[in-house]
Amino acid sequence: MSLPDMPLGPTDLLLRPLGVGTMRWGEERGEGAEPTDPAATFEAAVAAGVSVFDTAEGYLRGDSERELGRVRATSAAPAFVATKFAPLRLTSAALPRALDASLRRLQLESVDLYQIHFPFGILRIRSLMNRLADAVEAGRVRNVGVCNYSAAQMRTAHAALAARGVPLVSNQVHYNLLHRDPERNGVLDACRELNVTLIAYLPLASGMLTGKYRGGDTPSRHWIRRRTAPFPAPERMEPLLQALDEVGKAHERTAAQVALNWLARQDHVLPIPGGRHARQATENAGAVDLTISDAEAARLSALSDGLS
Amino acid sequence: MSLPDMALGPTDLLLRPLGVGTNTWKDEAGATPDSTNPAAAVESALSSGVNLFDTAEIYNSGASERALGRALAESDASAFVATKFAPLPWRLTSGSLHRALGASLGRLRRETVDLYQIHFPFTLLRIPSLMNRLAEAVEQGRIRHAGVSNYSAAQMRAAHAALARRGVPLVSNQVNYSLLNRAPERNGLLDACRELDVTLIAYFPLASGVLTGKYRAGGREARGFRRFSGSFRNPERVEPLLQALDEIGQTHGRSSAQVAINWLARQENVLPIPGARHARQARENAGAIDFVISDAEAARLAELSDQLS
Repeated sequence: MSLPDMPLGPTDLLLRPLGVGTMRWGEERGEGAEPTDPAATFEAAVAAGVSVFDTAEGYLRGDSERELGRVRATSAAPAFVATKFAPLRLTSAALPRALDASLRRLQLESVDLYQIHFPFGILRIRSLMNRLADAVEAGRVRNVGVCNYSAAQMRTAHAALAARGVPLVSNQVHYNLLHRDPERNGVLDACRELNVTLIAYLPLASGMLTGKYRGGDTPSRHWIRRRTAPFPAPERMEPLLQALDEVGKAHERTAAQVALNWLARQDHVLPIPGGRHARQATENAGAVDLTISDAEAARLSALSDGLS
Repeated sequence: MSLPDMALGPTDLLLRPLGVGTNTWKDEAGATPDSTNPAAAVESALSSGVNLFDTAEIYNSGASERALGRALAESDASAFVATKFAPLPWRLTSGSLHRALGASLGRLRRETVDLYQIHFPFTLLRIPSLMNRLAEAVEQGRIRHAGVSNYSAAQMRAAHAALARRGVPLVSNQVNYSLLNRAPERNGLLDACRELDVTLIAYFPLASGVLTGKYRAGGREARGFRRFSGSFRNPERVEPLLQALDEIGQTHGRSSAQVAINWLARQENVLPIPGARHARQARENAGAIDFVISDAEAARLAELSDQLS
């Protein structure tokens, strides 16, 4: 049974509960054997019914946006394009200029979702939200979101936008079976209360949840140590990875697909695994045309409970 | 009477208790004396005895670092150069710090930077990993001192402990602190700085210019981001404080801005870094530490600012 479509925040727009992360689009070549191929990834995703593509002006200095713009322009398939403003400037007046630059790279007149990339002190949330509302009124942005905001920051943003009659549709945060902070720090609850979509990045924990690093076959201790998430010791993760495997076998799916389904089946949660080539995009898309049972989801939750 | 030199964190290095903020600097100097002119600001600061310059890789996309590097290359005086690593969300491994440091050194035209700071706490990278990379950079001689910026007291303690395991001191935490933003006194940060012997580098010490008095009621109209700040929208609230700054300034033959900076710089462990866009501003700022306001004057300013932040 396939997961149903979900609305974006409080809007009427229905989306498949999965997107494609494009952070590495435009890099010379992938780390693995298979090179990054944006065009093939795009085609495979849309062919599988997945249309959300998430990029940012900061990814590879605009190259990710350029690649997404290039492949979207040459395809007939409709896509939902999300990008992000990096609040590194001294004044919020920089936002409309940065948006123009993003739209040029994306070859678009308007972007479906424009997000503030991360909270950073100097620019006030209220003035950023006013700029976003201006961009909505100017027809340059269809929907407004934030990323990496705490529950409190999200409420401030939501209220500031509401004063302008614009809904906050999403908060994009780090969420997966090895990083369940959003359940504990109030972000997921606030998303449900305010009807904001939680877009989950790194849903496969940088590949850890695919199981490909199991059995001592880790890429390198060095890599793990320098990696973002403080991964638990391999033997502590093993029961969870084994359960992902077993649940996967019951549904004839991979561990990665089960880990994504665990997120996507939740109310208000839309995971965006990175997609570098067609095989990955197809595999990821296959994560939302099944539904793991409540018992299976609860088992995975229980096994991941002590791990983050 | 001039303010005495201060030690950088727990080190023996003595600095004047003032630095120069460079976040508006760009590659090209403007044409008029009042437009941004990094070379003139550097020259003027150095000749006034102020030699700490603070920049960041993200200021004007690297142009601030380039401008500082060029201005210092043309000068004989020795400078203390501080810059910052931005732990951006698309930097997924802490190894990116070494690459970013290399790029900053190139723009600054230096072999080593005196102070390398983590620009802000939001990041996907863990504090201990970042601190390990900073300690490596110290061991490699590419940076002399390690600092952080915008860290809370708890984050600062974590950074301090991680560096201590590598035998490297945390020398500074750079935060927003002024008579109109006294959060560091209330959120435990200033206390933690004193306890751990970390220098609090105060940015926006003039509250984006409000404390100079130039935006007073009937004065210059606030534009841009200033329009959204309470102090700009309600100048009458700030008026008693601005008046006191003026009066104290007159007693000492100084400007309001110089008094506001002195209020910070006279405090233990506090080093303000007002922005200086040109020679006149750099000179005026330097004049903020060659006098000392009295304890009574400082207390009066503190009291008038109590309700404002």
